[in-house]
Order: sequence, then structure tokens, then C-alpha cells
Amino acid sequence: MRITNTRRISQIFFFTLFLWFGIVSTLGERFFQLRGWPINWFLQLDPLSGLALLLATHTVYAGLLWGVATLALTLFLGRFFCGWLCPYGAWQQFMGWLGKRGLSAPAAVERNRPHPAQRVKYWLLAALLAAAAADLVHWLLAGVVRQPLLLWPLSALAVVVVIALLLFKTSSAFRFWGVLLGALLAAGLLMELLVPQNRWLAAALQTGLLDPIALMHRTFNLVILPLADGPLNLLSATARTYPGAMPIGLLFLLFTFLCLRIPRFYCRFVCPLGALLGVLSRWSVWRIGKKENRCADCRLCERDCEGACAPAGAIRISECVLCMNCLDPCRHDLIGYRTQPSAAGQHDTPDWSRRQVVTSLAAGLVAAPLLRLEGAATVGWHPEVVRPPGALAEVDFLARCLKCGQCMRVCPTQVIRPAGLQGGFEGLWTPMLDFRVGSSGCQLNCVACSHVCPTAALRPLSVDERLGRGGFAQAGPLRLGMAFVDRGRCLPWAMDTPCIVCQENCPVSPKAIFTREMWQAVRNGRHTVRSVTDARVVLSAPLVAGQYGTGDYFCRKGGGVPVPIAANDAEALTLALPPGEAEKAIPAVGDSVEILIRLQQPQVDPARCIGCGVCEHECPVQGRRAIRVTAENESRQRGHRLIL
Amino acid sequence: MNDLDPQPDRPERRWFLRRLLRAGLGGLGIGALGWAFWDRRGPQSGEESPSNDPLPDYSIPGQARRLAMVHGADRGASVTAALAALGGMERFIQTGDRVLLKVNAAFAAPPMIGATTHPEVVTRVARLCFEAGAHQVLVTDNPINDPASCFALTGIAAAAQAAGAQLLLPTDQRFENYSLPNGRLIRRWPLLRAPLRQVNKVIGLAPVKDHHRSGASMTLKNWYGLLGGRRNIFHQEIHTIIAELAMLIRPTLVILDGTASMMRNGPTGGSLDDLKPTQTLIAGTDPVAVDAAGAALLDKTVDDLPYLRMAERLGVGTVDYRSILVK
Amino acid sequence: MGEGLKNAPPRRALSHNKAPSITERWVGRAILVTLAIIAGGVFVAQSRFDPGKWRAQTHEAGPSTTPHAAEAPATAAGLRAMGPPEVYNAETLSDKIDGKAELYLAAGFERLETQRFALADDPGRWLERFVYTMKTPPGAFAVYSQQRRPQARPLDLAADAYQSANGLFLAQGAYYLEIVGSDPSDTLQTRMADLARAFVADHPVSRAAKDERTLFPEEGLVADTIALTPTNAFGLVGLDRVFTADYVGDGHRAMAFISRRATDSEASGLAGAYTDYLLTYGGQKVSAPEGAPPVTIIAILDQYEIVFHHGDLLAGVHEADDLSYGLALAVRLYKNLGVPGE
Repeated sequence: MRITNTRRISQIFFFTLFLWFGIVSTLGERFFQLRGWPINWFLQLDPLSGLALLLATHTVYAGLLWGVATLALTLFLGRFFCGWLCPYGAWQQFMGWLGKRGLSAPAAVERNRPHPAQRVKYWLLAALLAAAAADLVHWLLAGVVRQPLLLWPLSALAVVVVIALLLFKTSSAFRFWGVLLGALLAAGLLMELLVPQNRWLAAALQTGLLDPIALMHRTFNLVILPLADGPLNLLSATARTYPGAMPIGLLFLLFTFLCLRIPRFYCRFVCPLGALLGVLSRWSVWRIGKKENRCADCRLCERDCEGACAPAGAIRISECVLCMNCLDPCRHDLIGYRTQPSAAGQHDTPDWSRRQVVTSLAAGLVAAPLLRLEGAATVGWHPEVVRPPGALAEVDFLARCLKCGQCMRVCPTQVIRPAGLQGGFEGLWTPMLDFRVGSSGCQLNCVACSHVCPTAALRPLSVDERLGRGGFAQAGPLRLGMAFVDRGRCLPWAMDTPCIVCQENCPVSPKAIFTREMWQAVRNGRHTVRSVTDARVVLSAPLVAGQYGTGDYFCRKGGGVPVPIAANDAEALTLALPPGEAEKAIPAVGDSVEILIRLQQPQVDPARCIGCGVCEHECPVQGRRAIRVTAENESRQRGHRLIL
Repeated sequence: MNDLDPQPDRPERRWFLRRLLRAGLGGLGIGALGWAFWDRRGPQSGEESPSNDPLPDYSIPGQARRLAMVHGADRGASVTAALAALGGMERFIQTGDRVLLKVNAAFAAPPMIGATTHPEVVTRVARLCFEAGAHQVLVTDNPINDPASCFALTGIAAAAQAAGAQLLLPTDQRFENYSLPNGRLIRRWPLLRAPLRQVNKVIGLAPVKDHHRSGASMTLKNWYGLLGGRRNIFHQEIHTIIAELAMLIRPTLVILDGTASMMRNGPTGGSLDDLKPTQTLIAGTDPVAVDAAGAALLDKTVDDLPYLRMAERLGVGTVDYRSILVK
Repeated sequence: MGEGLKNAPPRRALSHNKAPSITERWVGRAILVTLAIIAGGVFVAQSRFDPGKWRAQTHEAGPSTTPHAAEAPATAAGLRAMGPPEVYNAETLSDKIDGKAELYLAAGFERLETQRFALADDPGRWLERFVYTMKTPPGAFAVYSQQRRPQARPLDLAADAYQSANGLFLAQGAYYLEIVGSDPSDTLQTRMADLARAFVADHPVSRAAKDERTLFPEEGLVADTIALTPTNAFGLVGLDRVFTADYVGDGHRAMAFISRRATDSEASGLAGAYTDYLLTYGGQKVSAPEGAPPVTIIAILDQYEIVFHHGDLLAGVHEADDLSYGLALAVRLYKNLGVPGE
């Protein structure tokens, strides 16, 4: 079998596996449901997520350790992940193939020429990692600053190294990186020492925006699946709605279309994961190369070159995605996947200049504190951003969330949606609860999202912890937020209309919503009694037949007790007289009577409400609900406490 | 095969072996790094790791609780007289001590309306401290209004400077999350800790004020100014929080300035009409007793201020101030 | 750029212009094997999971079997069903009651049908009825007796029935009925009783079967403490279907137990096995006083165990804190077994 066919099989295999994982992310135990399917395996294999999380949280969470395997294998083989495994790469390759069909060989070769813009992905990588790195720097430096035995020797060492590098002749690359690192270390230490809680070393994890695996999951979960499953309803009973999914779909569509013009557009120009693996592949043991430097220069090998790495000439190792499409076309069998450098020369390192790298790093380092200036994670927090159960405190949450949408996918009631800019730019596409979409509120005894989260931005919860049972009785139930009654919109509060739907649906026990009984005189409800026969009271003014026969209306004479109205026609009320007290309750001719409605007005008990949003979901005031959950009082941020 | 190869293979083989070694070491390095930082369980709930360095007790060990009450219209003289009655500042401050004066600078209001600690008290106490040998005197508070203007307008900044004391503004980095051992409300709450870390003696200086929510604001309520964050949430349980504050700070000394007391419209006041010249200054080592004595100045009794008995039950003082009154 | 490119052959022709090398073929095979291993790994991974980690008990994800219409028990007046009944079998039981399923499965569980009802006049209040069908009446009594709440109020609805603050529990034939209310109000209590009464009327038992329970002596018996342990009684594997009852008297306490075995020899064998079991765990044999029935007495952990068998019955006294009290109880029990010639 040809190696290119093996590659195609591998790509199809992993692409199918990816789709399968997307399909089985439905809560349940049938074979096509969640069970134990490793649905995050691609995200875990993706070393960009792992590395970024290591930088942002100085930990590698559980399955993210798989990224080590990818990195280690890349050191031997090169960018095998891009060419053989990445589902987004496979998709783009397919689209590129569609776009190239029927093209003449010279035109095809033209599309695969290396382009200077391919370096953009390295800039993006540098900026994204720098933005995430500040916390690790802060963590390490803060540790050093607290240990005088480490601090002063290390500072001295940094200064000595910088001076030595500047004074003595060394290789220019060595000197450059040495001086850069030494200066950064010295500056960082100084800053830590002088301003221990400065805002410069803030970390922002934004790799998920461009990480191809996160992008693929997000697009599949929030765009493709809801569209595909909409008419079928195989995976969810009700159609899924995700406000804010449109830009996600458009972005995917854009890159898909661009592939028709330039194969693997995203991989070549944008993908920060490809860039990371590209940087590493400079050390790879096996690589594509030419045996001899003499060749007819027919360039047929570049006709289907996926990475645009120019294998005919001096190959750009960091761009090569190991598609192996250059091996066969060579009529002289000059190109191979070998352990020796190409006889035609090779470019090991990416096509970047130091200036560009430094600029990108600086941009990333500055971006994080700039994002924080918005204050969306701190004092300027947006109460509408109600995070799913298990979410860490906002700053820690943002340091972990990849915006992959796995929690939104798995939610059995589909109440998790991607945030727009409510949580600031940093929080774009992070999960938030929207109780208007979905089939109910956040289910009390469900902790699925917290277990599905690949990075523990939603930390794994037990149902006991969520409900505050067992060993968690002291901590009490986990609160996502709190419901507030909008008295201007609530039917019994604002419109004298009986309704206690929220109270009835409150799943907390004892209920967090209770009602207060209230008697309200109805509009134009004051009448004079014209005649009385048994329980039938004829009034002076005409009535709307049946209006007061709902059981909620009462008739009161003078300052007496309200008597329930059993029915009414156009001119008279029929009272439902309490047995034995008929005499006292019946108004006499000429009495002035008042028609009252008995209302139960809902109230929220802040000590009980956990913010599950069932009330908001059920509220019959459909547009802007009359009871709404906001993030006040959420457990994850003590500072948002509302009551003691 | 090798013999037929026209090119010598040794450099290429060496190149290969070197790369293999480098990749192997690199892979191992990455693996080791990943392993070292591996976190199998993920973050746990951030709840309650109780503070492992609780605040020290700043009171003088071995001294009995004592309280002195002096009368007069001259604050400075009253301070000196009260301290003399307690045996002089030397009984509280020794050579080399670093002292924190916790003033009440809550509002950006002029000193005369009595909403804040009077600058004259600050100057006099700071000078007495220095005379007793104090190495350093710090003045701090976390006011409700903008700190810089509060200290300036209340005259406390100038008073501190005049006496050679150093004013510490409540900047963000001076706060630390703190959990009071056995506390229910003060848990992982921002506390103005940095000034407390710098000193070994703490003296509270408070005016006598009516307080709408708690009944009265005197030396115990004054510690509220060491809390940060959205502390007004504690107004839901004002008496509990004041009692916990009494547990939080065990001061060296407190001085309650009732030369003029704010009888109503507290704690801000705003009008001289709200003040009454009660002409009393109380100093003592037990803030509960001092506040119990101060209640009378506001025509209140101990029962009007539930936090006093709560603090007493917590074992931090006595409401029976007469039992420790120095004659 | 050479002219070779302009006259390039079509791709298809290109890719077949030479046969793949042996290395290429072997590498391809190795990769396919790797893919197969990955597929296998993924398949193994999917079968290893703990649904308790993320389970949500939503109605959609509910039980698979449908209720038998004929068996659907009657409702009572003033109640409105909040949803269709849900049915669980031995496999799905833990979906509903989680870890407590073990208790039922050990006692011969067949099916559970649950349904929620709201009060028609106060929809905020509701109750849930659990009807457990067990294989045998003793199975129903076993789950009933093992969960009996200590502060319960006995009811006369059925032979075995009691009421707790917000629940009602009864065993009727092979059924075990639980009704749990959303709050402890009187209204709900009344409705629960109505519902239970309807159930009892709907599931009459043909004369309570005579079982070991009638053999416990009256004197000193603590009310409502007769229980049935379906398996592994007193920690001994194989000792199943044991009825127990608590006794107090003279300031001492003990537990009597009776179990009817299939044959006489099984009863005597099990008595021996239990004695050996006690001796293995540090028990010391105590000789029975003169005139006592043929019993084995074992002192263990400051308590006394008395074991004997009679016909197909295995019986004895468990954890007696006083030897003479235990022995007296054993004698009374022994007489009750219908020993001839007394």
C-alpha cells in the first residue's frame, strides 16, 4: 500500500472518530451515548491546549498529559499530527482537493508555493502563549522573591549572564536569546520585588480561539450538530438554540471557502498548533528531503504539497505536514522521508525574524493586562454571566476555558450557550447559562458538564457536593446565582393576575420560592347591590359573564370577610357561601360591595435559592422573564455574596 | 552496500545519531516536565483553608483589664490624664516598639462634626508613644470615602505628620484574605493586614457616635475599618460582625473620645447640632468595657447595644466596666 | 521551472508509475495496526465508566420499560398524576434509588413502579408512590423491616405498615409500598393514607402466610423490631432468610433469630457452620447448665451467642449481654418451636 493511501486512511479514521465523539457526547449509557467514550481525546492530544494551560495555571490537568506524547513524537517524526491526525487538517485538505480539481499542474504548483504570510501563524502562537505565560512567570518569580536565598543569587546571575553575553563574543542567536531572557528575568524579579501585586503579570488563555481542535469542537457542537440534528431530533428532543453561534459558523465557513483557493489555508497561515509543532519539527529526526541535489526541476512534487514547504528546493521543514504527496511524483525517486538532511538544503527554523518574535511576545504580554483593564473578571463583572456548576472563580476560570463547547454539547437541558461579549473580550464563547434557551433550567442532580470539561475550568463535582449533601452538608448547596422577581413584569405583582408557576416549579426542597397572599380590589370592581336571591347578588352595573367565576375572585361588603364568587353572568354574581355563615356574608340590597382578587405573590428566599433557573425557564412572561437568575450570590466567588 | 556507496556515510550517520539523541532527550524532557506539573484531580473547591497565621494578641500580657475615665473639654489634656491614670504610656509602649494607631477616618468630613477621630487625639497619642520610646508610629484606616481625601479633610494626615507618625493608605496590596479562627462571618475576607504585620502594638482611637444600624459606633465598631471588600454586606448582621471584630483585634489599648458625642444622625452626622459636649474621655485595655462605659454618653445602656454582650460571651471583655474602673 | 511540469502526466498515472517499496508497505501496515489498536483502546475506554459521576435524572433519560396497564394501582381522590408512571427493573433500579438498590436486589427484587401525584387543590404539594414488587412476601417484609424508621407510628392499614413524618411504608404480600410526601403536612398525610388504603384494597392478600414470625415468644419482645435479613445474616456468608427480633428484660437485651431451612440436615449443618464461624473470630465455648435444651453457647466480645436447631428450624440468641437472660430467652424460643415432650 502506498504511504499516501495509508495517510488518507488515517485521516479518515481520525475524522470519523472525531465525528463519532461529537455524536456520542449525549448524556446516557447506550453505546451511542456518553458512557466512557474519551470525547476529549483530541483536545488532550493537542499540545497547544496542554502547554497554554501549563503556562496559565502551572498545572497539566489529567488527560492533557496526552499532549506530551504528541510533542515527543513530533520530535522524532515532524508534524505528523497536522497531516495524519488533525480532523480540521483533514477537512481543509479535502476542501483544498475540491478546489484544485481540474487544475493544470503549473496552476496547482502555483497554489502551493511558500508564501511569506505563513509566518503569521508563528506570530499568533508567540502572542497567544505570551498572553498565557505571565501567570507562570508571576508564580515562579513570586516563589523566588519569597526566598532570599534564591532571589539575590538569581538576580546576580541574570545580570552577570547579560553582561557576559554582551561583552564576550558568542553566536549571535545565543547572545540574542540569552540577553532577552536575562533581561526579562531581571525585570520580572525587580517588578515582583517592588510591586508584588502588580497588574502586569496577568494571564489570559486565548489559544482556544484559534486552536484548531477547540475550533473544530466548537463548530461541530454549536453549529453543525444543531443544524444537522434539528430536523432529525436524534440527539436531543428539542431543537438546540445557541445565541452567538452565528459568528462561529461564519468563521468556519470562511476558512472552508478559503481552502478552495489555497489548500490548507488555516494550517498554513493561522493555525497556532501547527506553528507550535512546526517550531518543534526543526529537531525532528525523520524529515522529507532529497537524496541528490541534481534534478530536472519539474516541480511535480509540489503539485499536491499540503504544507507549501517547497520540497523541490530547500525544503521548509517547519511547514511540512508530512502529507507525503511529494514522494511518488518524483520520476527519479529523489525525494524520501529520511534521517538525513536534504541534499538540496533545508530551512530548519520557521521563516521569522527575531524582531517579529519579540514584537509578538510583547503584544501577547501586553494583551493580557489590557484585557483585564475591562474589569469583566473583577469589579466590572456582568451579572448576566451565570456560569455552569463547578466553574472556578472568574479569573481562574478564564485561565482554563478553551471555549471548546463540550459542556454546551453535553448539557441534557441545553441551557449552556456561548457567551458573547457579556463577560468581556476574554470571555468570548465561554459557557454561560441562558434559561430562555434549552428545555429546562440547570438540573439539580446533574454534574455532567463539570466532568466533561477537558481543562477543569468547570472542576469535577459530585452530585453530593452540588446539592450540599453528605460530606458537603456544611458548605451547603452550590449556588450558580440567584433569582430575582421583576415586580414590574410579574403577573401577580404587576397585573393582578394569579400565577405561581415559578413557585410550583422550584425544584429546591424546601422551595426557595414562596408566596405571600394578597387581596387586591379589581379595577372597576365597586358596585351597589340591586337585589339578592339566595346566593345570587344582582349588581348595579353590567358584568362580563364568567369573568369572576375562576375561583380567584371574592366579593366583600363593607369591611366584612371576602366571600368566594362561584360564577357570574352579565348582571349578577353567584356567591359560594360558607356553610352556616350565609346570613352574615350575603350583602343586602343597597349595600356597596367590592370585588377582590386573591393573589399569591412570589418571593425568593435568598438563603435557599441556588440559581438553577428552572423558574426563569418556566416563567410565562416569555420575552424578558419576570423572574430572572443573575450571578449574584454565586458560590464560586465569595465576593458576589448577597447575604451572610 | 556501504562499500558501493560512493559517499562516505560517517558524517550522515553521526548527524542522524546526534538528532536521535537530541529528540530522545527532548522527548524525555517534555515528558518529565509534563509529569512534574501533572494534576490528576483538578482544582478543588477553594473553600476554607483557615488562615495559618492568625493575628497576634497585641495586649500586654499579664496586665489586668483596666479602664480610666476623665472629664474635660481639652482633648489633649484628657488623653494625657487618662493615660496617667492607667499608669502612663510606658506601661503599654516600650522602647523600640512599632505602634499602629487605628483611627476612624471613615468620612471626608471636617474634624469638628465629630464623625471621625479628632486630630488632636492622634497627635497627642502619637507623641506619647514616641516619648515612651516607640520606634515607629503608623496611622491607618480603610475609610468609606476616598482614603486620601478622608485623611486630608479630617485633619488626621496633618496630625500624624506633625507628630512624626507615618500614614498608611489602604492600597490594594495591603489587604490579605483572612479567616478568623472560629469566626463565622470573617472568612477569607480581605483584611488590611500589611500595617498589622509591621507593628507589635495596636491602639484604637475612636469618637463616640450614634450609629443607625448598630446603635453606636465606638472602639469596637472602629475595627470595621480594617475590613476591605464589599464589607457593607455585614450590615445584615451588624452585631455579629462587631462581636467578631472584638475577637479579631485584641488591642494594646483603646481610647474613646467622648469630649463631644454625636447623639443622632450617625454615623455621618454633618451638623454641629448633632453633637453634645459630653466632656468625657475613656481609655482602657478592654474595648468591650470602654464601649459599655461610652454607651452612657449616648444615653444608651448595654442592652441597647447587643454586640457588647455578644462580645462578652465570646470571652473578649466585660460589659461591667465599673469593676475595672481605675479611681 | 522545467517544461516537465507543463507536460505533466495526470495524477493517477503518476501515482502508479512505480510499485511501493517494501519499507513503505510495512510502514503502512504498522500504521494500520496502530490505528486498530487506537480503535480498540477507544472501545475499551468507552466501556469503563461510572454513570454516577454525571447522571441527571431527567424524564427523557428515564426508564425503558413501560408500565403494565393492568397492574397500575388505583389512585385516590384529590390527587392528580404529575406524569406517567416510571418502571424500573433489576438493571435500572439503581437509576432511581442509587446505592439502595443493593438492599432490594438481595431480597429478590422484581420491579419498581413510581409515580408522582400533586394535590388537586394545592399543586405545590405532591407525593411520590413507590411500588416495589418482590419475588416473595418474605422479600417484601425483608425490605420493609430493614428500613423501618425508629420513630415511626404504626398504622393499621395492613399487617405491616407505619407512618413517618413525611412518608408512609407498608408491606402487603409480595409488595412493598413507599409513599413519600413533599412536606410533613397533615393534608399530605391524609392523602397518603387514602392512597395506601386504595393500594391495600387493590392487592388483597389471601391470609397472611404462617412463617417464622409467629414463633417468636411474646414476653420481652420489643414492638416492631421483627426483621428479616435476606442474605449474609450476622456476617456469615450462606446464612440467609433469617428473622430477628429484639428482646429486653431485667435490664438486659438480646436478639432472637429463627430461620427455616429446606431440610433438617441443612438446619443442623448451618448451626455448625455458624458455631465454627464464631469460634474462628475469637469465640469461646461455654458449657450449657444442667437441664438446658441442647444448645451451643459461645462467649464472644463480652456477649453471648446461643445456637440450636430443631427439625428444619435454625434458631438462637444473638448478642445477649447477659448469659442467664440469653439462656432464658433461648429456652422460651426453644419451647415455641414446638418441641414435644415439654
